[in-house]
Amino acid sequence: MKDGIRIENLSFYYGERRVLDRVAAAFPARAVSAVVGPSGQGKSTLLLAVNRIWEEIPGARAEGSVRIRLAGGELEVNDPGIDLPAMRRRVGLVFQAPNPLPMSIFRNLAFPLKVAGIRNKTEVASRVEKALKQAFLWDEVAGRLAEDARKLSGGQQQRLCIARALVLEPEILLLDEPTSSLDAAAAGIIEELISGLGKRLTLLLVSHSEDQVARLADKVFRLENGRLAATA
Amino acid sequence: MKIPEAAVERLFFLAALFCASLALFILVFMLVLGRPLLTGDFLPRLLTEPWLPDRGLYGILPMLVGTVSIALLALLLALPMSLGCAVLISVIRPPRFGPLLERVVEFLTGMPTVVIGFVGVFLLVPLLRENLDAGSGRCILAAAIGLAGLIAPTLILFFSDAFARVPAGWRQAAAALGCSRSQIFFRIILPHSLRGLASGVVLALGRAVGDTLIALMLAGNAVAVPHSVLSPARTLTAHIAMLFAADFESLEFKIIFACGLLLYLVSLLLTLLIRGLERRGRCRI
Amino acid sequence: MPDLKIRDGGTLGLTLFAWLSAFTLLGLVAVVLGFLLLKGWPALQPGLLFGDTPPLQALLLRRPVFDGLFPALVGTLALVLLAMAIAIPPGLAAGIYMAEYCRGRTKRLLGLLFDILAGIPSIVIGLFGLSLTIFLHRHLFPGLFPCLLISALSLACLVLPYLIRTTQAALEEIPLRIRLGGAALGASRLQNIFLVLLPQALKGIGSGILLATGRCAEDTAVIMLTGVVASAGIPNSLFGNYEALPFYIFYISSQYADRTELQRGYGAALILLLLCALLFLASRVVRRRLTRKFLYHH
Repeated sequence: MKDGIRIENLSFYYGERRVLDRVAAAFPARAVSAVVGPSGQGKSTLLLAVNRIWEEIPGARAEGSVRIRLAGGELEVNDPGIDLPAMRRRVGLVFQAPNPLPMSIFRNLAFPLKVAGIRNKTEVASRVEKALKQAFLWDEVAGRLAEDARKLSGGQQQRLCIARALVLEPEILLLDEPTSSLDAAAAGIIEELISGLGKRLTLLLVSHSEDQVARLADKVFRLENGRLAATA
Repeated sequence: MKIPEAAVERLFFLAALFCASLALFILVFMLVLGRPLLTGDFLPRLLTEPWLPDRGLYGILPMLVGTVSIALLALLLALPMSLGCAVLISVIRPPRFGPLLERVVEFLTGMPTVVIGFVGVFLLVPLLRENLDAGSGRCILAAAIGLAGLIAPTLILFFSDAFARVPAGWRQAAAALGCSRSQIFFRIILPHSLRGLASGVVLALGRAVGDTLIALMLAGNAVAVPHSVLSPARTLTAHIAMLFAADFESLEFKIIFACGLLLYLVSLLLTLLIRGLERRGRCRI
Repeated sequence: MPDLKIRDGGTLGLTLFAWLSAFTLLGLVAVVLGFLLLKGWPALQPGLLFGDTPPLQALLLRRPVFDGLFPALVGTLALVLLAMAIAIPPGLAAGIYMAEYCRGRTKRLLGLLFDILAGIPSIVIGLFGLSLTIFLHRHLFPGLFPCLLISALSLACLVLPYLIRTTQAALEEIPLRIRLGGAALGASRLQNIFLVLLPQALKGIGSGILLATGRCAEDTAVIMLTGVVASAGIPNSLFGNYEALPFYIFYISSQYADRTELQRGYGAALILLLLCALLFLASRVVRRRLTRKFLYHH
């Protein structure tokens, strides 16, 4: 498979309510793909299906095939036999609303590393710094890494969550409206980040701004009435 | 007919005041009737001597030991199972079994204590009598098991509530970062539900200390200081319940009020503790 | 079924522990209920309630019942009704006060006192009732002894905090827009409470009342010290002794004379269990039923 992510026959349910109906799409590897469409139709839900995070949401259920390409081969995400935590370390997800963990800024970023077994203090510190720099947050927080992450502003929290997703150096990155809670300046910074990352990673971006998508995406899809279709 | 608002409000206020003052009334009665016993030199005797009225010894030490040992043992027995059930209900959340278990547990909170005691007398006590060296079968262990059954539903509900209150966003963030279920539980959920867990434990302890029937029916009511979990014992509550039409002026009777006062103070302490825990919980972000 | 898609030891251990705990709990419940049903079921016949007295005669109170649960059932019924009648007015009034009129320090202080009252062991409440009786007996009413009325008053003290809390919670749950709606239409505070808020809170209050009723029905410690006896027939006066189901069960457990009495004990335990279960279920139904009704109206 040459695509980064390939979806086939994907249906998604919240309880009895069906949100996605057998959608299919192929998102290219090492490129930025975007999904646009009217709100409330399931764009975010599509992202949830890629790293199977819907299993943490009571009542949510997905059926169908989601194949992803990682270094070392491809993987069927909905295969019950795969090592889910390991897969999720290689597929980063940035949620729509920032959700910093109840810890200091530093520990928010060190947490995924610790869970992955990386304990060497120097390595952790350097990776944390690298990720914060990538998310253009380092300059603002370098002096106060021990502060509670929840004290940051909304825009800073969102950049923190992006940094947190990047600290594990994922191969695929899923972003759910990453700039919707940011002001124009911060949004611009993040868009720059996304363009840069798009050359090395497979990026899937959900956005409600057609302008943003036009600026950033290599391929655009439209999700409407349960159908996903590529647009020019 | 125009009902004057102020009068009605005054009425409601008086009702609330009256109800609230009951708590104080009860304290006053216990104090007044038990006061002669709380003077300086009698108090240490009260708390350290055994209960042998015929020999002039009116200490409530055996009852203190009984109450504390039965309550703590019951808590010890109930804790693991309650934690496990709470984990199932709020962390693992199997879609149909989870809510079912929760409903069964809620239902169990309404189980009459006297019925638990009754089943204990005719099912548990013979079991202990025949299989362990427990005399008549009525002992600390029997009462502790019965009491554990009483407090477990409360513990489970409090624990699962505490787990569920951990924001979903934190759990999802941790999962997206590659945490396994047990890592999410031990690193995110458990550390942030400790206060709720503590409240549950304190509440259950209060129920255990304040229960009368189970101890009365299952612990044997002997007045000697118990020396093992298989010895019979008497709790403060059972001691009060066993008022044998004593002479209202006698010292024995007055001791009862000292027991009542002690129980009141313990429950007061636990209530304040829970309020303190909950208030601090609300102050944090 | 247990989640089988587990890879790491930690999650496997946790999941197994949780399921084991759940099945242990259910197993124990099944054993207890099964035991009770097994032993108590054979006792469930009219003879259990009325002994040798013909049922109709007993119900019409023409002939006393000696070997049956009827007096205890009537005693419990009378006790519970009386206790609730005493407790509901002040309980509801206090709850309304807490939810609608009270703020700041007063609210915290009153709330604290109610919590303290709720935490007092039932035997201490019984002791309070007894000591109150002794006090009144000595100074005002030499004819007063522990009796039905005293028990009912004491039980009322026991359940008062429950009623206050559930009323308060039911009122405080009402969303702001409904509260403001009434006020915006020009209703006075009192009118708002009685015409808008209380009807909305009815399900919560009703369910709280049913739970409190269950509590009254099953209590033994309070009534032990305030007038219940093992054998007194149908209660014929507020100031006399009476029988009650939970005390009967306790009494039988230590003083049963023969197999028949023991059987009756099992039957009584089953009946009490059923009664409390029904009240509990009713309180849940009330909670849900009224919600649906209101959903359709608004």
